[in-house]
Amino acid sequence: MKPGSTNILSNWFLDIGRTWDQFWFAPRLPYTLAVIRIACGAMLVYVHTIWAIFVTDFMGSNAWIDNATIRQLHAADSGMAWAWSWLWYVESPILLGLHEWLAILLSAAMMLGFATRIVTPLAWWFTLMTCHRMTGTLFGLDQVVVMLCMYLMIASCGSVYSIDALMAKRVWTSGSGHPSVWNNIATRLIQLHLCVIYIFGGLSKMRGDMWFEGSAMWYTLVNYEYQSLDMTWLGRYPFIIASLTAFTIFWETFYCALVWPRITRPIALGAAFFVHGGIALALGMVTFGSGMIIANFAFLEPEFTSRLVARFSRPKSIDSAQSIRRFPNGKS
Amino acid sequence: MCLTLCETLMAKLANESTTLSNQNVALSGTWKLVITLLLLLHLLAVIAEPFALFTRGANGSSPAALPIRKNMAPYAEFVYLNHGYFFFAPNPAPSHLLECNLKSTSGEQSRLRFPDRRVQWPRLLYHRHFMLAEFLHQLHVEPITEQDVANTPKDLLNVWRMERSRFEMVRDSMIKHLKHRYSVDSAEIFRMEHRLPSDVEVFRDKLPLNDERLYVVLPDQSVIAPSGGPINDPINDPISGPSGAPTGSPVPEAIPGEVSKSGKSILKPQAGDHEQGQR
Repeated sequence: MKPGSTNILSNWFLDIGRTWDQFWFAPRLPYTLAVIRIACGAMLVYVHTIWAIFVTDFMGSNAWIDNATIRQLHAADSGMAWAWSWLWYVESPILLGLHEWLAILLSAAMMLGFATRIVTPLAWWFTLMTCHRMTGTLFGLDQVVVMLCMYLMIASCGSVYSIDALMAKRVWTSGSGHPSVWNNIATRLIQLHLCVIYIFGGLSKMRGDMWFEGSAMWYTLVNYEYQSLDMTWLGRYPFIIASLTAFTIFWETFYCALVWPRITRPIALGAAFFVHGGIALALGMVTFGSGMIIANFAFLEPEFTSRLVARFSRPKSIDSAQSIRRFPNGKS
Repeated sequence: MCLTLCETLMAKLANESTTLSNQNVALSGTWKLVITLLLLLHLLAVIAEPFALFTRGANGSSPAALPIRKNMAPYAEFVYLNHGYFFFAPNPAPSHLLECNLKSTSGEQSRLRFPDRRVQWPRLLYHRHFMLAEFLHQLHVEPITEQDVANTPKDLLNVWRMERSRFEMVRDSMIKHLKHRYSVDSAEIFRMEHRLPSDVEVFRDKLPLNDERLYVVLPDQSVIAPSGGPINDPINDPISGPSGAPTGSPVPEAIPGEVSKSGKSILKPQAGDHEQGQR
């Protein structure tokens, strides 16, 4: 091999290394992750509250799936053998209730950002234990909240918009957070995980024919068990139904390519808001739709989030004062 | 040697990045290398399950996917990463419900349906019950006859026994829950399919989405009749019905019927979605 070509090769490897380094190890501000933490914590509070209220229906020896059955479902030859939960062995309704109320407290603390570094891993662990006990009742919501919680616990997402920040006498608004590599790693993991979710969501639809011939959206909208908003009138316009079907499969499959360039990112994120908002409103899955929208926040630059939060959290008096300064005559 | 080269590269990049960034503490090259390896392993675990599921065919998953799935299983399963993300895929499929007959000691009978949006509130609670009904349906493996037992290879028979007992175990647990929850003497569970109507049925025939004609009780046993036979109605036929089947054994007395009432032939095929309920 000629020396020139060796140089090209080593430069190429160095470029890859540099790009990798920049992608994963550049420090990032915590604002976006803090907003995700608040939303994810609130969702966990709600999820665990429902479990806590109906605890004996879903956990213990008289649950829909009792303790002996859940252990058998996770037996060695089941394909779920590595999942484990201490709740498989708890029969007492009081202890089960305590578990869920503790999970609610931890999730609330995570949402408020109180002792975030400690409560976020604990909220994740308690939710994980609950999920492994609740096999058979879980759906996309559980997948997305566990995923977000897992990544949030490696970030310093409690350093802003939190009780921790107030206690450290930091300012509640922008400029108070410090950039960190771990914020970046957590953000990148959420982003990549989302890309995996969407690409396999899109590819899996390619194994069916309804998504190609344009009827899938109709059969989704007329599913009575999912339906929360009657959109069957859309069926009178086959062009719209088929277009929405095609749009969904194209967006889902190409999300992983469209979301990275800054120029197409608003399109990919806008479509995510539209699709998941539609799922939340029309298909009765407000929690899952909201969870996916929250996860998509990961693609918002922290500086943008900080400005947005500052804009909404700024007291009206300051806004008014500024507008008076800007327009002393009251004219625009 | 390769490791040393990587470390050197990472160390060089770490030095570069500290000058580029304004972070307080920079990671060393060794730390970056360790984190890189962990990140790669984690991402491999993230794609392991959907890749195995996506490549699944008549002969199982792709040989490219299986080793990843198998080796990543301990981590992926424990941290709850083992999802296929097959949302409404490959096709939107009909919903599955639980139709439950309860009988008290005084002889009073009642019928419950899960999920039921009028009863289970808030919506998240309703959805949990919906997932339970879908879960039981996904686990369902039909019983086989004594003749089939004799003609089936031993390894396939073992797989059938395991899957059938798993279904029966979950079904029996649900029956036990119903008896306890509603303080009744006996309970029966039937799987019910809610067929998705076509646009013609909705607009021309004015068929409501919750019309009873769209709901079909699914029989427990084989639905392919070798010599024909009457349409089976498991709810009124306790012998061949789901809970009428003796636990853990084939049902030689079951009369196979057809599920023409399910109306699958009216529409396009709707089968094949094993994860719709997981959305």
